[in-house]
Amino acid sequence: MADAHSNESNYLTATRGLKSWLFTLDHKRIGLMYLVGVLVFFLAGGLFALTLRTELLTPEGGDFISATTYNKMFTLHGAVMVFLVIIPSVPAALGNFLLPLMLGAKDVAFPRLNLLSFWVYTLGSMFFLYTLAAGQLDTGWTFYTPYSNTTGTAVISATFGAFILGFSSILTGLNFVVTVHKMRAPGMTWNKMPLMVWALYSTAVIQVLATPVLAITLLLLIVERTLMIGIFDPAMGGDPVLYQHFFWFYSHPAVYIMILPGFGIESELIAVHSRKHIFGYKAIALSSVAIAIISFVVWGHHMFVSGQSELAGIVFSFLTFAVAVPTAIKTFSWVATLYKGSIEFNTPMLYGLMFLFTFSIGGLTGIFLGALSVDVHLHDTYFVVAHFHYVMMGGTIIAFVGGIHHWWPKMFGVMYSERWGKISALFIFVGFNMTFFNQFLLGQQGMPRRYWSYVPQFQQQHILSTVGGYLLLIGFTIIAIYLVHSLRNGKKVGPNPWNAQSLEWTHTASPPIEHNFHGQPVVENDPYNYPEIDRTGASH
Amino acid sequence: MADKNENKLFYGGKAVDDFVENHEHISPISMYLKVLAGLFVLTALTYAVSYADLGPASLPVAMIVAAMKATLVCAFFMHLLHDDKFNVFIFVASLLFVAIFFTFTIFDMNSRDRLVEIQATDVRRSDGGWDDMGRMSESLAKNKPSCTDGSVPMCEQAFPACNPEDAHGGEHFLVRRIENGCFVSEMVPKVDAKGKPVVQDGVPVMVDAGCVLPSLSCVNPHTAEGHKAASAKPAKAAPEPEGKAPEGKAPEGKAAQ
Amino acid sequence: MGNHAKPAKDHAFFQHHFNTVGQQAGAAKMGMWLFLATEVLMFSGLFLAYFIVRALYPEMVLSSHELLDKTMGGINTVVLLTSSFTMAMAVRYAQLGDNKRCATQLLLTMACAFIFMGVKYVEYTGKFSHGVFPGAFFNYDEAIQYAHSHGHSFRGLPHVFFGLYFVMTGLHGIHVLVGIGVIFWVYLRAKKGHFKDGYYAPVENVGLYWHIVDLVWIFLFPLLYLVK
Repeated sequence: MADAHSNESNYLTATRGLKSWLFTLDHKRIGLMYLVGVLVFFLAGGLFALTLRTELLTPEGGDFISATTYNKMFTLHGAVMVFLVIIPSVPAALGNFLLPLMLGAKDVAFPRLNLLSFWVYTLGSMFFLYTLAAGQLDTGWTFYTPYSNTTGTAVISATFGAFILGFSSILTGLNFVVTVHKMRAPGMTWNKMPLMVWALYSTAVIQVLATPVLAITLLLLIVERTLMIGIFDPAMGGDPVLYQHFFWFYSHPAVYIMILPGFGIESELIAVHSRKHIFGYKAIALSSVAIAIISFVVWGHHMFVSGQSELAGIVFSFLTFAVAVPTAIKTFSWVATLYKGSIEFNTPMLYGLMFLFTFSIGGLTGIFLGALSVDVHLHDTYFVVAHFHYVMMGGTIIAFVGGIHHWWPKMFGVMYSERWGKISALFIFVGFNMTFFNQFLLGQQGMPRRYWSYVPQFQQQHILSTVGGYLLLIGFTIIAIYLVHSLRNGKKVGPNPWNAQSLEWTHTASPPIEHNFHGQPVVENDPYNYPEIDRTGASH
Repeated sequence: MADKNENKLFYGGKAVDDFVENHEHISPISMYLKVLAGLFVLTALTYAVSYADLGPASLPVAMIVAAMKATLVCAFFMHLLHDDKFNVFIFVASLLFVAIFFTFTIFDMNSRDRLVEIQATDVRRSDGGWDDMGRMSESLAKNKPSCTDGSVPMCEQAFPACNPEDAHGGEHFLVRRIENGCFVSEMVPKVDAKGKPVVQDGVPVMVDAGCVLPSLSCVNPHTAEGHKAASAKPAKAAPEPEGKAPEGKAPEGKAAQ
Repeated sequence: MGNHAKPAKDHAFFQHHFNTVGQQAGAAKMGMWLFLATEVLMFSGLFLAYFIVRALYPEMVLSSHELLDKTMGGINTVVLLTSSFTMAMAVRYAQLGDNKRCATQLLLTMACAFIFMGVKYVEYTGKFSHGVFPGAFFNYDEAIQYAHSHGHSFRGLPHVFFGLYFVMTGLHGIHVLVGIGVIFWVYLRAKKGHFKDGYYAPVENVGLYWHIVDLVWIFLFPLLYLVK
C-alpha cells in the first residue's frame, strides 16, 4: 500500500539544507545524526585500540609509544567506546530511527527533548575532545579513586563530559519509556510489540534508573578532585571502595544498556531471516525486563578483589549467576527459532549468526568471572578484557552492524553489495575471534590487563591478537566503502525487501515519508507472523 | 485500512471516547490549607524534638517525621493520590531502586573489616581497638607518638586552608602521609624525569591541587595556645626523590588545578 | 499534516504527533514523573554518602553539625513548604483556567524561593567568614576558634562533614535556582493567558519539579541540622 506513494518526498528529501538537519525534530533524522556521530567515534576508538595492539607486538615497551601514552590510549579507547559509541549506538541511533516506526507512531513522545539529547551528546563529546587536547586521561574509563584524584591528567573535563553524556542517555531513555507507553498505534498491545521495542524499552528503564547515580558519582568525583571533601579519597578521610560502589551501581546496569538493544536486534534478525515466528516471544520479552531488574543487584562482582567484604562478594556472586538465566532463555529461543527455519544466509543474517556464536562465548565466560573464587585468579587479566570484548563487541557491535545492514534499505531505500557484505563479514568474524580468543588464553596464563610490556613467552599470541585487530580494520573499511557506495549506486528497493512483518516494513515506504505513515496504521497481526506467509506464498 | 480509524481517538494504543486526561483532579483550597498546616505541625515537632536528647532514637524519629511530611507532599501537593497509578508506580520504583542501592552498599560497608589505607593496616583488628577513624584521634591522644622533624601527631593533625598566595607555580605536590602515627608533609615534584606522575611507593598520597602550603601547623584542637606555638614551625621540605629535578611545569598540571 | 484522527477538542499548543490532547498531557506528566525518578536516584547518592560518612565518623558528624543553625534551617523549611503550597495553588488555578490567580501564586512561589536562597546566602557567608569552607579549603585554625566561641569542639575530621554539607545543600540550591527559572517561564505564560481547562501540563510539571525540590529539603533538614 505504501508503493502508491513511492514518488513522493521522503524524510531525507522533505526539507533541504544543513539547518533542516541540525534543528530537525524528526526522530529519523536525529537517529541518522546519532549514527554519524557514533560511527565517527567508533573509528576514533578503534584507532586508539589499534595503537595499543601495535605497541603490544613486542614484549618490550616503548618501541612505538611511551608508557604514559599507552595509559592514555587505553583509557581513551575505553571511555570513547563506552560513553560515545556503545551506549548510544543501538538505542540512540537505530532506536531513534525505529521505535516510532515500529510502534506505528508519528514521532517519539518528546521530539524537542530528542533533539536536545542529541545536542547534549554533541556537547559531551566536545568535552572528550577537549580532554584529548588538554593532557588526556590515564585513569582507565572507570575513573577509580584515589588515582583519579591525584593524576595530573584532564580528569575533570573527561568526567564532566561523561556527566553530560549521562544526561543525553537519560533524556533518550525517558523519551523512549513514554513513547512506548503512550504512543502505540491502535491494536499495538504489549504482546504485539516487536522484540526490538521490548529491548529498547528495558534499556530505557535502566537508562532512567541507573544513569542519575553515575551523574552524582561523577559530580562527587569532580568535587573530590577540586575541593577534596573527603568522601572517596582515603588521604582526606574518604573510602575509595565507596566510589566503586557508586560507580558500578550505574556501570553494571550500563553493561545491559549496551547489550539489551543488541538482543533486540538479534531477535529481529533471526526471526526475519529464518522466515519463522520467533520462538518464545513472551519469554524473550519478559527476560529483557528481568535482565533490566537483575542488573541492579549484581554490581559487586566488579569489586571481588577491591576490598569489598567477603560476605558481600558471595552474595553478589550468587546474584550474578541469576543474570545467566534470562540470558540463556533468550539464546535458547533464538536457536529454537532457527530450528527448521528457512534460513537465508544474507549479510544481516550472517551477523545474526555471528552474534549467537560470539555472544555465547562472551556470556559464558562471564559466568566464570562471576564465580568468586575463579575471579580472584582472573581479575584484571586479559581474560576479563576478552570477556567484555566478546560481549560488547561480539554482542553489541556485531548486532549493531547487523542491524545497520538489516535496516539500511529502510533508512536509505537502497541495497548494498551483498557479495562485499559477505566478504567483510568473514573478515570481521575471523579478525574478531583472532583478536580476542587469544586474549582468553593470555589472561588465563596470567597476562595482566592494561600492561605496556609483557614476558616474552606471550609474544606469539599477542602478535596473533594484533593481526586480528588489523583484519577487523580491513573488514570495517570494506563495510564503510560499500555502504557509502550504495547510497548513490545501490539498487533501489521497495518498502519491504526482506518481506518482514513489522510496521516499519509493511506500512511505510523505503525511505519512510516525513511523518512516517499515511494515516494511522492499525495493528492486526503480530510482528512475526511468518508461517502464514510461507503457507500462502504471498509476497509483495 | 487507515480510513476506518480516521475519526477515532487513541490513547496509549487503544481507541478511546474521551480525549481529556482521565486523572484530572481539582482539590478544594481547604484541603491544601490543611495539608500545609499538617506540614507546619510536623516541622515544629521535629524541630522541638531535636532539643530533647533522644540519643540513638533521634535518627529514626527524624526520618519517620520526614517520611510523613514527604508522604503528605506526594499524596496531596503532587496529586499522587488521584493520579494515574502508573505514575505512582514510577515513583515507588525509584524508591525501590534507592533501597537496593543503599542496602547492598551499607551491607558491604558493615560486613567488611575496614581497611584504612593511609596506614595500610586493618584498624578493626589492631591492638588499639579502634573501630573507626572517628575514634582514632581519641586513642592516639592517650598514647601520643613522639614526632620529629616538624611532623605532627595524628591526634593533632590539621588540614590548614589552602592559601593561593603560597602557590609555587604548580611544579610540586604537597604530599601528606602518615608514618608511625605521625603526620608528615613533604614536597615532591609532580612528575618524575620520565614525565610520569609521582606515586609514593604504594602509599596513597594526598595532593594539593597546585596550591602548596608553607607550613603544616601542629594544632591541638583543644587548646588555642598549642596552635599558635606550632604554626611558627617551618614545613619540612623533603629532598626530591632520587635527586631528580622536575622537568618544568608539566602540561598535565593544568588539569590538576 | 495529514487529516488523521482530528481531536474533537483542541488547543493552541496541541502537537501534531499526538492523537489527542489527553495523550499529550498524559505523556508530559509521565515524562515528568520519570524525570523525578532520576532526581530521586541522583540525590540518593548524596544521601548514601551522608549515611556512610555518618557510620564511619559518628562523633565527627555529631560534633560538626551543631555548628549549623537549626533556626535558619527551620525558617527555610517553613519557607519552602509554603512555596510548595503556593505552587499547588498555582496548579489548581491553572486547572481552572484562572491565569491571573495562577500568576499571582507563581509570583509568591518565586518570592519564597528567593527568601530561601537569601537565608542560604546568609548561612554560607556566615560559615565562610569563619574558615568553614568545603574540603581542603576548610581552615581548621579559624573553624576551631569559631566552634569554641559557640561552645562546641570538633572531633575527628570535620572537613568531611562540611564538604558533604556544602555539596548537598549546594546541589539542592542549584535545583532551587533552576526552579526559579522554570517558574518564571510558566509565570510569563500565565501572564499571556495560555492555560485553560485541558491545557495546564507546563504548570503541573513545573509544580511537580518544585515539590521534589521541597521533598529533598524535607530530608536534608533533619539529617544535616537536627539529628543527634
